[in-house]
Amino acid sequence: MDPGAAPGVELIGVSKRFDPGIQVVDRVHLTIPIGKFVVLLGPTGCGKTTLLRMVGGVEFPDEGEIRFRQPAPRASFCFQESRLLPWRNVRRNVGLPLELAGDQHRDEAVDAVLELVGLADASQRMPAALSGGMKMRASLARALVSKPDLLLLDEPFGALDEVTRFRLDEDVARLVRGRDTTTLMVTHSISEAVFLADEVIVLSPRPARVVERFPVAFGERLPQWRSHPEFARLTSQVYEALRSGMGEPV
Amino acid sequence: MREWTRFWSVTWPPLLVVCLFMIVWQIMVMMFSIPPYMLPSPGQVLRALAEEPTRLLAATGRTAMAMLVGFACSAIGGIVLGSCLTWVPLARRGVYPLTLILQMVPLVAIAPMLVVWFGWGILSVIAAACIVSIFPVIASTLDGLQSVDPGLKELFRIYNAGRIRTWWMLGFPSALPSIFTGLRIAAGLAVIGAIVGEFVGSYGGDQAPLGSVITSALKQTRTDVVFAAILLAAALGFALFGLVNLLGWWLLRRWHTSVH
Repeated sequence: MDPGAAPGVELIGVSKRFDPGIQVVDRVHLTIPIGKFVVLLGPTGCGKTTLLRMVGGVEFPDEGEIRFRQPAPRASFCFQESRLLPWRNVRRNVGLPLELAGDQHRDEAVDAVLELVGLADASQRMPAALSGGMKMRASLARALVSKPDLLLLDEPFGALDEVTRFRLDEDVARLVRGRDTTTLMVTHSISEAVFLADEVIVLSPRPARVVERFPVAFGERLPQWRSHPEFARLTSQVYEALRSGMGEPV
Repeated sequence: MREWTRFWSVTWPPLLVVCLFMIVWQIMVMMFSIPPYMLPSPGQVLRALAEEPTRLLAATGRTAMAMLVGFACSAIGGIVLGSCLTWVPLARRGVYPLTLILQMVPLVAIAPMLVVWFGWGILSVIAAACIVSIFPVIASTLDGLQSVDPGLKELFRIYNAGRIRTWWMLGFPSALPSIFTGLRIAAGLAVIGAIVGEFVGSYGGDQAPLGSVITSALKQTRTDVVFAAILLAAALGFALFGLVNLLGWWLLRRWHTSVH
């Protein structure tokens, strides 16, 4: 990763405990430069989602500090569940953040983002009539519609089948990478992490500490990237780091 | 056409049971020569209906008015009160057990007091219909609002949506299926409340509603008229229940599994 890039988000010695005295996150130092895509990878229950939620301002660290370049960055979440309102069609679900922000001219933004995620034809459909993949596309569109400074993806495609997941990863790469949006993603999938990230951060089992960082210096993320030798090399390195648990904390 | 077939397939079994019941009733009355003041035959009840249709229909109209206004008050009041109780946890713990009193104290016992407070006439009847039917609406609203998906609540928190907008755009719609369960129960109770209110606070003469028709017909041992009035009261209850069901179906048809 470009060491000179301005930090979009900076975590300085961030720790978090849950009652009664369960340490979930332990002194994490992390810098995410503006416009970069960072993926947190770690075993189940290690505290990576808590870390993401703290960056999103939904939870607060007990120790340490989280700094943003802008004083109040616009953050958007995309969760593992689509969290669509079942009584609203796709279009009205996607427009929800703008509606709540009082944006009177949201129609064009909603049309544009629906086109981008390939849901233009399904805009009038209700969530119950969508496939799992389409629901997640709608959820992603809702996260992107407000043009966030900070995009937080919490295992968004974890419940999907492999092929749909690959396709959605490619869409995320096309929609998010190379733009101004700074992205932090949490996932279980090593190949998803290596496919999307500018940097993969491997976390230890609970309490989460940074174990190892893997910069991914590769250009455009097209499907061919998955069959590149460098992809295979990085994937196995990340796997080793995850499996051994571990190494010494950075 | 398919709609009709479906409608017919749902309606014929209860209709058949009602017809059979009428036939058995008619035969029993004839076989055992039961005097009409004890149990009139279905034929006599229908004759009583046909004898003075204007008076009975006008009485039904007046009861319907009291029932509808009472039901509307309990629907709106119940939703508002249930929502307020969700917002203020202390009020929920303090007030909710007290609303149970509305459910526990028999209406017949409070009805005379309603006459003292609201006077003879339709106001005390509306109050009776409202009091007896408001509890299920409060309880179902509270229940619906407390079971809103926590993930969606968090989403609205992230979007910094205020309390009123979160209620209007998230809480109220997701509580609607539960609220309609309460409203269906309330619809049946509202007609009972209205009739009991009319028994106690009856206003007779030309302005008599169904409850008063029943009490005055009983005094004249016109049991056939009593049964005719009961039939009309039941029809009112059915109509209101149907109306609530229809509204629920229309509002929830596009997204909720309960209406498929």
